[in-house]
Amino acid sequence: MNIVLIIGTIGMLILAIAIVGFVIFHQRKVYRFNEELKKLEEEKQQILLNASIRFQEEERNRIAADLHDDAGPLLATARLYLNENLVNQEKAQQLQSIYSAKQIIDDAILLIRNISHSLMPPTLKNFGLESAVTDLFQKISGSGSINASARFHDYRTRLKVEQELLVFRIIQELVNNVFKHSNAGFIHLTQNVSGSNMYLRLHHDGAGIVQADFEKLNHSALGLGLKNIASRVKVLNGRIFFEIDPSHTYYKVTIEVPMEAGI
Amino acid sequence: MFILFLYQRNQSKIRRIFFLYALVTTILVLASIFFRLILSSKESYIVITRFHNICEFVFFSTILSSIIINKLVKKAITVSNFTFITVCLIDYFNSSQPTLAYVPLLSSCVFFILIIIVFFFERLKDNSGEPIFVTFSFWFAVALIANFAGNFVLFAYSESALKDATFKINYAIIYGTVTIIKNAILCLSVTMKENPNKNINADNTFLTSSDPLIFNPDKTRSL
Repeated sequence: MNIVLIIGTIGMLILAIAIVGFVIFHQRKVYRFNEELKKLEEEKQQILLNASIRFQEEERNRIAADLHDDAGPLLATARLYLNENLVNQEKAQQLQSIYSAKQIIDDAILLIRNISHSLMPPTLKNFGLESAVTDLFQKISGSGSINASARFHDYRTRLKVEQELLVFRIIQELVNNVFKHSNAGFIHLTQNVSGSNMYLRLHHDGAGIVQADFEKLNHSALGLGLKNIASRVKVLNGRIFFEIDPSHTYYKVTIEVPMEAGI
Repeated sequence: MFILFLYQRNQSKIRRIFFLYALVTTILVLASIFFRLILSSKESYIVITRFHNICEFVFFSTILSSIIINKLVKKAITVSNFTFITVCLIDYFNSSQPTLAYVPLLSSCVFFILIIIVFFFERLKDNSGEPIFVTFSFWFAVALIANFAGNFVLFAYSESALKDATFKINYAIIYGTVTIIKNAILCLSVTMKENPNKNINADNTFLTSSDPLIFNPDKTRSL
C-alpha cells in the first residue's frame, strides 16, 4: 500500500511537471519564433530606411547635378553678358547683349521649372491624382510603345496632397518597372473605393512578380525601386499585393490606401 | 504568512482574493493547531479543517475563474463551488466518525487538475509576446497542479488506509512536503506580474480576391 502511495504520488508529480514543462517549452518556442519575426521585421525596416535614404540622396544628387551643370553655366553666361562694360558699349551691342542675356535667363527659368515639375508634377498639384495618372498614361500610350490606359471609378474625394504624391510615385515606379522588365503589350490601371479604403490595381500582360518574389526582393540588397514602393506604402499605412491572374495571362498589382480626405 | 507580508495597497481583484486566502488560511491553520495540539479536541480540528477545505476550494476556484478566458469553464467553476459545499456537507453528516473530507478532496483534485489543464491549453494558444513564466497566473496554476497532483493518490487511499501507522507517517510526509512546495510556489507567484499582455490578433485577411465589378480589366480595356 505504502509503495503504491509513494510511486503513485511521484508518478502524479512527474505528470504535473511534464505538463508544466511542455507548456513552458511550447511557450518558449512561440516566444523565440515571435522574437525572430520581430528581428526580421526590424531588419526589413532597416533595409527600407536605407533604401529610402539612398533614394533621397540619389534624388538630391540629380537635382544638384541639374542645377550645377545646367542652371549654373546658364546664369554665369547671362552674368557675362550683363557685366560692367555693358554701359560703355554701343547701343546696338548693348541691345544684343541684353537680348542674349534674356534668352539665357528664359532658358534657365524653363530648366528650373522642369526640375520643379519633376519634383512635384503640376497636374498632380493642381488637378489631383486622377488627372495626373490619366495624363501619365496618355503620354505613355502616345509614345506608341505600349497600350496604356487608366480609369478612375470613384474619386470624388481627393486624398491629401502628400498622399496623392506618394500614390503617384508608386504608380510611376510600377510603370517604370513594367517598362524595364516585363516587355508588356498593355498596361491598365483601375481605381475604386471599397469601405474606407481606396484600391488601385495595375494590370499588365508581361513578365511580372508575385507577392513571394516581392517579399524576397524586399529583404535582399536588390530591388531599390521595390523598396521605395514598400516604404511609400508603409508611409501611406496601406498594403500592396503582387498577384498573377488564375488564367496566368496577366499580372496584377493592387495598392490599398486608407482614405484620408484632403480637399 | 509570508504572502501576507507582501501585501500592498492598490492591489487588483485577483491579488486581493489571494491575500484574503492567505489570511484566512493562516487563521484557520493556527486555529486547527490550537484545537488539535493545545485543546486536543479532534472534532473541532476536523470541523475547522473541513471549513478550511471549503474556503480553499472557493478561493482557488475564484482566482482560477478570473484567469481563465473560456466562459463555459468560468460558469462550471461557479457551479462547482455550490456542488463542492453540498458534497462536503453531505459527506460530513454521513460520516459515522469524525474524519477529513477525503471524498470531496479527491473530487476537488480531479476538478482542479482538469481546470488547470484547460488553463494551460488556453495559454498555449495565446501568442502574446510575453513569456508565460513571468506571470502570476502561471505560477499560481503550477502551485495548484503540484498540490493536487501530489495529494491525489494520498486522498484516494486515505479513507481505507489511515488505520495503518506507516501510512499515517507517509501521509504526513507527503502532505507536508506537497503543502510546502505549493506554498513556496504561491509565494513566488505573488512576486510575478498579474497578466500577460492580451494578444490582439492582427487582421490577417489577405486581399486574395476582390470584387470583379471593381477591378474588371475587360470593362475598361477599351479606354
